[in-house]
Amino acid sequence: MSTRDQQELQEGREYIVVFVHGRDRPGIVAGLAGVLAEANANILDISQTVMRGIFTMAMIVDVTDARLRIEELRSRLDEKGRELGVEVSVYHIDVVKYLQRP
Amino acid sequence: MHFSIAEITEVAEMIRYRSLDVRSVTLSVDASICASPWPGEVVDCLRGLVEEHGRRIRRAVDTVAAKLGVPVTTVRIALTPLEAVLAPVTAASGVERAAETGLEAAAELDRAASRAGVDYIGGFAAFADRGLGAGGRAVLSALPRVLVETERVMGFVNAASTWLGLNMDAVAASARLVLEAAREAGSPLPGAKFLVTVNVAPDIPFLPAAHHGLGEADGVVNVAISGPSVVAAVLRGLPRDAPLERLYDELKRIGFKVSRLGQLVAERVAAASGYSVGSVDLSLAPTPEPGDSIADVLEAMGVEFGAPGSIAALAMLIDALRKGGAMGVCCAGGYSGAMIPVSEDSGIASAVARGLATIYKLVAMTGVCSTGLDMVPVPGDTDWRRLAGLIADVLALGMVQGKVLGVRLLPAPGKKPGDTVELGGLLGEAPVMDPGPGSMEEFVERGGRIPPPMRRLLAG
Repeated sequence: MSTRDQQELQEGREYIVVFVHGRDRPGIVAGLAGVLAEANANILDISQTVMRGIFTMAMIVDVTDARLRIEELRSRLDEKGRELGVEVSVYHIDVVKYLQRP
Repeated sequence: MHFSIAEITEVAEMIRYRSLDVRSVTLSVDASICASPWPGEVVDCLRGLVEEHGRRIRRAVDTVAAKLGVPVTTVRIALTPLEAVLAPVTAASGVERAAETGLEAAAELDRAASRAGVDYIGGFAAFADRGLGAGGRAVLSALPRVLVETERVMGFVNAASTWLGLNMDAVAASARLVLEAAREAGSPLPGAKFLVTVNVAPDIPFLPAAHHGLGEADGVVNVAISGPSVVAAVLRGLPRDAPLERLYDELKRIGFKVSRLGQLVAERVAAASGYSVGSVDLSLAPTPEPGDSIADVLEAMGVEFGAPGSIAALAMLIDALRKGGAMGVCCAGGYSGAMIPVSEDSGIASAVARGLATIYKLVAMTGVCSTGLDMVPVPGDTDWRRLAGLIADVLALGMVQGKVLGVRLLPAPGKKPGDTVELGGLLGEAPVMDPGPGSMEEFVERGGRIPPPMRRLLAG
């Protein structure tokens, strides 16, 4: 997404985007990545910026082999986000695809 | 496929922080199969249809919304106008019995919708552009009680069209029935569930006009988008001195994105439920939430709602959103304009309270906006002829210009112009408006109809 080549998204596999927004602090990436790893969801790409102390991160995650459904994953990530003091949004990749690609 | 963090951020911001959502998924269902001379059969059949299709569409919407992460505000079912379903009862047992059957059916539909998780049912309706059939008379006679006694059932009367003309008798009947319902209920709420239309389209997902029309397949998914706050936020991000062309370009861009969300949800819900995709209505629809307002969009463009220049701004806004949106969807449908409901848009309600927006300024806006005079509180003791005149004015504009328009008035018992009417929830609140002075009684009382305009002749 940012500096390295983004892995091509494959037809037939299921992806989500995870968007994180909030005050920067240590452990945000580790905390959320932990939730994903536990669910056997594979982070394909991760990109973040910090502007004026506000942390913004976007991840593309392959959930094809995940043990949780997207809505369950969403609520786990949401819970972890609350612990970390950040807001987490989880969308199916098609939402970004439809809105950003004619 | 590559996405930048900026692209992902933009999508997340629109959905999470700018209340971009899908306002409604409306399943259009052919209810003409329920037509029967036997009242019991009609009622059972309609209840069965709504239970079965309601559960199916609700399940699909919930699954898709959870998977995509996109909120869907309401789920609706649009039925074949009940006049067609009730016609055989009138033939067998008369209009009165058919009206009773309609009322019974409405009560059952109300309960069935609630059990199935369907928020509203559309189609308690009749077409009367040139005249009214027996089924239509039953619908009109049942409507006041249906509006008062049910929660989720909504109706309309199409009283004019570019093809058939304007039926003043139907306009008069509509004005009287909405006044009667409000008086009966002691509240303006029944008015929120009833629309008088011109050229009503069969793929409108917005109630009260949603219905299943002739020429539609059974089981079609129509979607309505929302999002004035998304549009306003984008405009506010532009330099204050950006020229109109720049605004226009940005509006097209945002119109595309908002419409794409509607298209995505329409496709996925249709796939998950086994129904087919109908159309996406590109109308920008406000909610009473502060900021989720058409008035706010105009203000972000630099003009107060109702001030000179606001019709030009509205025209530009709608045209740009349509152009951007048309590319984003398979089939645009419904109104595809901008809703300007007074009570449901806190910004418009405030413009009314400040004297900026008067009823006839709103009527003028219908010349560019394709939705009509919507959610307008009027005094409950207004003479029916005055309301009929007001309705006829809007319908005539639609008829002559070939536009889809509606009139939804909220007669408020015991209230006078300037008093506030609180409707609650998504219906919002607004000041009672003055329909205007002058005499029209003789014109309205003549009855009959205004023949269709030149456009009809040119169409051959």
